[in-house]
Amino acid sequence: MLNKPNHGVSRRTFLQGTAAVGVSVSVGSKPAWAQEDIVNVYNWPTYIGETTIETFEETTGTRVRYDLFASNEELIGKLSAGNPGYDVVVASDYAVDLLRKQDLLLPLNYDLIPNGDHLEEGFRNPVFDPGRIYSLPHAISTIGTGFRKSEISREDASSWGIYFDNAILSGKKSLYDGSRLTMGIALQFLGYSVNTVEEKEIHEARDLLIAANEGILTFAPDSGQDLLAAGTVHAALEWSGDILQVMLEDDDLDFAVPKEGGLAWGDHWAVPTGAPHPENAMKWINHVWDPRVQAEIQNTIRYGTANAAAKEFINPDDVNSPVVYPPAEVWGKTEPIIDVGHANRLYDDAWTVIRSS
Amino acid sequence: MRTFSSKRIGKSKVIEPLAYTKRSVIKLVIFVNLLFLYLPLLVLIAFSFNDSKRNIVWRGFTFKYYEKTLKNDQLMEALTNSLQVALLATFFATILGTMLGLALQRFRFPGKGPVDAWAHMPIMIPEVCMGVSLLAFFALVKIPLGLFTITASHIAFCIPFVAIVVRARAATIDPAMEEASYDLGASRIMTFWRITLPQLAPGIIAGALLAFTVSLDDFVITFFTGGPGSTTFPIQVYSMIKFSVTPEINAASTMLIVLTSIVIAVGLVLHAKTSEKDSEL
Amino acid sequence: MQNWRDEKNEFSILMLPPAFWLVTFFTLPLVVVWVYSFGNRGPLGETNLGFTLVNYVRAFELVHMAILWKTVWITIIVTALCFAFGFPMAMAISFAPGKWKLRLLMLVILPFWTNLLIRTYAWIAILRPRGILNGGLKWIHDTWYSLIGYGVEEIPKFVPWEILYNDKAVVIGLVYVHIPFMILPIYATMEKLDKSFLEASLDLGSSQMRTIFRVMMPLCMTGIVSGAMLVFVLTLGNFIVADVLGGTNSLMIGNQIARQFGAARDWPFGAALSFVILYATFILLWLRSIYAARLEQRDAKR
Repeated sequence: MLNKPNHGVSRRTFLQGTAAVGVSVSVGSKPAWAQEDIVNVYNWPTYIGETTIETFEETTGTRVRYDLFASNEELIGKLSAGNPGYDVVVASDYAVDLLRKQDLLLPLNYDLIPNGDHLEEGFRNPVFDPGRIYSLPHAISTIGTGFRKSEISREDASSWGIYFDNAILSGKKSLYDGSRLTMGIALQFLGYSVNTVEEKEIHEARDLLIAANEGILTFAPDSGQDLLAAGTVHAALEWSGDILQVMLEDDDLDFAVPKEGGLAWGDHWAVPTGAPHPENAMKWINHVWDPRVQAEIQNTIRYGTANAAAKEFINPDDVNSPVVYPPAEVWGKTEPIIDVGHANRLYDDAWTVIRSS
Repeated sequence: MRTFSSKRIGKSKVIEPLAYTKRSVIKLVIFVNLLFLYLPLLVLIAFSFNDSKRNIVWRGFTFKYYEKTLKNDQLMEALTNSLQVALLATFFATILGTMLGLALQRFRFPGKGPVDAWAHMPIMIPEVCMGVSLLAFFALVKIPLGLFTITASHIAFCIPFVAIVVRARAATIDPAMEEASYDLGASRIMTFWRITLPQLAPGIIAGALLAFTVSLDDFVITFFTGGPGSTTFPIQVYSMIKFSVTPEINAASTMLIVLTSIVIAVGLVLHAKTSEKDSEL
Repeated sequence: MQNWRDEKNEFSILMLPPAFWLVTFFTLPLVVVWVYSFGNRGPLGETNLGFTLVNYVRAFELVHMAILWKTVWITIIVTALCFAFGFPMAMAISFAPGKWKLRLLMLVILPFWTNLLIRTYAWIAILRPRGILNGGLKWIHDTWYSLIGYGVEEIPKFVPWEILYNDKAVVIGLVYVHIPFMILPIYATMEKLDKSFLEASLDLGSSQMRTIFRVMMPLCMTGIVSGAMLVFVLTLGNFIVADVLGGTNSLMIGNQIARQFGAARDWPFGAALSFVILYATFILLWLRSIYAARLEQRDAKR
């Protein structure tokens, strides 16, 4: 029922658009929805609690309109052309960095977000947003290997090396279809930083991956957990949260963060420049940072929280799970992916060669 | 494999030479084609009853995803948006595309070569390139993104699909019919309405079906030209890749398939009733 | 074909509205990206305008040409297969008795009103090692060995056919996605074809095969060409199928372009790559148009 009135609104926008073209294409009137008490949320689907929207509308009286995108790059592309009306968005680490540096984010107004105080110490000063001026975490996870226990031991799965040894699980391994992530694990295996800008190191990682192509089944478009569940592969490079979801349905699956380090990953709430209702956006972030609401979100999506006060409301199984909250010594070794500026081209060129040889 | 030796088949039963559908080879072709087309559809329908959060392993039968889908307002709104855009885009693109197809088929004009090639460009251009260009353009001329911009863009890339098919059809039409009509004193409009259009009909129908198909399925251009409140079904599906496409999507698709089948079946029955004479052709 | 000067009004009425729409919502926007293609990528992935040909030079690098070459090959195979399956299907539809005609047409198009991505995902369930296809093959394998007298324990292990995550799967997926774009144009020209030509050919003693190849195909050539063209350009630009069903080296030019606008955030290069392909197809279509006009003139002279 929540979204019912939307039809009217979209039609209004639609008609207004028609009128705008009819009169003159250069007339940039403020759309009808800009004046309403509404918050336009832009996020992935199934990446929010089941009751989050409902409780927000009940407590604030502000209506929520929830729209979807598929990748960080789509989000950046759309915002850099001019924010079409989104108030609050979810972006991953490096995307926050890029948006912030292009002046595409508004600083958070912490007066309206008292719940921001619950932020754990360890998350207060990330490289991509020092001092948390622009973003607050939505969900935290690690990237490692999801594996089938009956096919490979935890010890073996705890090294990126399995992907580069064609004798191990040949044709039963999948990597991720993204240059930075998949090349990142090759770099880590070689002992380099996942964010290196050295051409020599990037080329070394490229050659390692080309040699490994034979033993890899495919570079999955973020569907490694599905391949694992289907028994098509026995080891998959994936996000901890995705693997946890399939672990719930299959006891034979597990997740390991490799000894070389593993990658840290976070998605964060931020308010884009040009948001028509910035205050509502702050109210929204405050709402999702309410400990109970935050707990409800994590109990639905099964990712980690950076909200210290929320943990007591989260399903104890998850709080004690090393998959969701890796031990400090593991988490301490992980590296986040951040933007590498012009070196991005080196990664992309290398990726082209890997994917076509 | 595909031989049509009438002698061999003719031994058992006499088949008229052009009654191809009565030939077992053609029957086999139809069967193989339909199997190819419908096997994936059966798989996705089966998984809509799967008691699992994902479409991978069979974990028992359930109806719960149908319940969830019907309660999922966001998904329902996305479906409504998609249908609205596809129907409007098909309607306008069919008219504009038919005009374009006819103009290119019938007339000789200076610069026809490049104009002809230009009219096909929306199909040739990589979708993402067109999407980005529209995004930048709408931002430049300050048209707010939403269902209007989506529909306008869909019309643009649907026009060539219609034009190509209509043009191919128009090329096979015998001009003598129209000339006869003029000779008998019919007006231009009358001739177009009574002679040209009915002859073009299979092309227009085929073109409209293609336009509807590409519009309903478009993700890339829709994404770049959409704004708040204009999420369509394909956007809903594609943005699910990050996690997993849930059986709710299968349930929604199954309902859509059943619904469209019913609409089509009713339409066909009505059509059959009104044109029984025609069906003898 | 008429000269436009003879029928200025009719020509303008037909030509101007679609031309206006395409200029406004296609060509003008495209100019923006065309300008981008001469710009350069800033350190954050932003597009800086300027004038440089680096992006075009880069587009002609060997590695991209190799990807294009492979893509063209796959596209040709896909187009040929679409024709091989689509032509008889179009024939079946247009020669079907009245009420079956529309039914078959609808049966062909209906699957395509389901989302492309989920249909492609469904192919995974069919083609994967423990999928439907291999399940069927395993059943045949086991039944066969037990029929020829093997005990349950002696049956050799069934080795699944590896048909997923390689180019075979990509071809299957692409044919599946694009076959209606072949069937419908052919159907449109074949429908209500003057059947006396076919009858004449048969009466004169030609075989059915010969009649189909020598009479029917030439008569529907415009539809075949249109269908082949649609399938060709759509396959060339597709990237989703290779993403979902392809193996480690399945990169097609469509993926390469999509990635420039995505993860690489290099819009100028993505634009340049797109325009290289666009120019190539544009020239091909122009040549086709000139060729068609020549043919027409030659026919007119006869």
